Amino acid sequence: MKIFVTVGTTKFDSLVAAIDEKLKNSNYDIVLQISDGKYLPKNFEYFDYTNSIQKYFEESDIVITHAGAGSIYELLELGKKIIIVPNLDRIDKHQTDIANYMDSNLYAKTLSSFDELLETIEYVRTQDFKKFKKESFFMTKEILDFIES
Amino acid sequence: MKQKAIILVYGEGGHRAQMKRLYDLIKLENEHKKYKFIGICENSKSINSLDKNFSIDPLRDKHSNFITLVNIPKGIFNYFRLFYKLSKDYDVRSVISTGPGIAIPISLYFKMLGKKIIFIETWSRFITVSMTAKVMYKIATKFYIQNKSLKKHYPDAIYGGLL
Repeated sequence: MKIFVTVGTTKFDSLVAAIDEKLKNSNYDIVLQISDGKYLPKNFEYFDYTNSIQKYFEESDIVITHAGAGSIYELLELGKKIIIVPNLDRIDKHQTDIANYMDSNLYAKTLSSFDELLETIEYVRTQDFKKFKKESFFMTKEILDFIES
Repeated sequence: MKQKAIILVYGEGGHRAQMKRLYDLIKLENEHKKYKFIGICENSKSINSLDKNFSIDPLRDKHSNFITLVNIPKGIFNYFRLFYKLSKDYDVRSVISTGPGIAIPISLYFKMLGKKIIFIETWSRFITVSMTAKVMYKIATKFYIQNKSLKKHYPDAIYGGLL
């Protein structure tokens, strides 16, 4: 099974380390996008950034993603199965907001603790999730008309 | 005669991603051609398709509160230097921002000049409020939210859907 891990534009060393350590004996095919992270994986392929992240998304069976809204919306739009991990290495903990929203509405699974990585991956592999329907931004013209007025 | 301009203020990461999506939507509208779109971003992570870009350093450090404190006086000086240049070179009509904190001083300055201030709260907030939004709610002429669940925190906000 192919798993892609993305941390977005802010490093998330604790997640990268947990995956490197806890999944080293699994037979998952794992690739990690680690931003400017200081922890460098010993057991899996990794890189800092890519311009073709959508390709990695599309080719994976499961994506483990930091709880950045941009990443989450993009992945759900592609219909991917995702495991959301709030980045608590950051000073502000706002990522729990969207993680809880997506989990409690059954659009994705949020990881509660790094100890549960293996069982969460297995759970998501066989689970079906609700399709997230995004209502697209519709106020652009109103904003421009208001500025013009 | 000075060119009419709209200033787009955006930080890195998700804030930049949202502003890029907004600008892609703006480009589809006819009124787009009437203005020069000027970007103010953090750490040179600009949106290349804008007419002109300026970069300033963020005041808040994501990993250290101490570094944040040290950045503040230096940041304020850079802000005023930029504001002066923009007012001199352009007929600024509005400031639109997607956060985070750099939205505040820029919006305040142009609000004092009587310009229209537009703020779009981030797509990542469903229940909690951001520090920037708490302040911008009081400053903005129009305050947009992308998730309906925020209406109870911001009764005068306008729901606009997701960028």
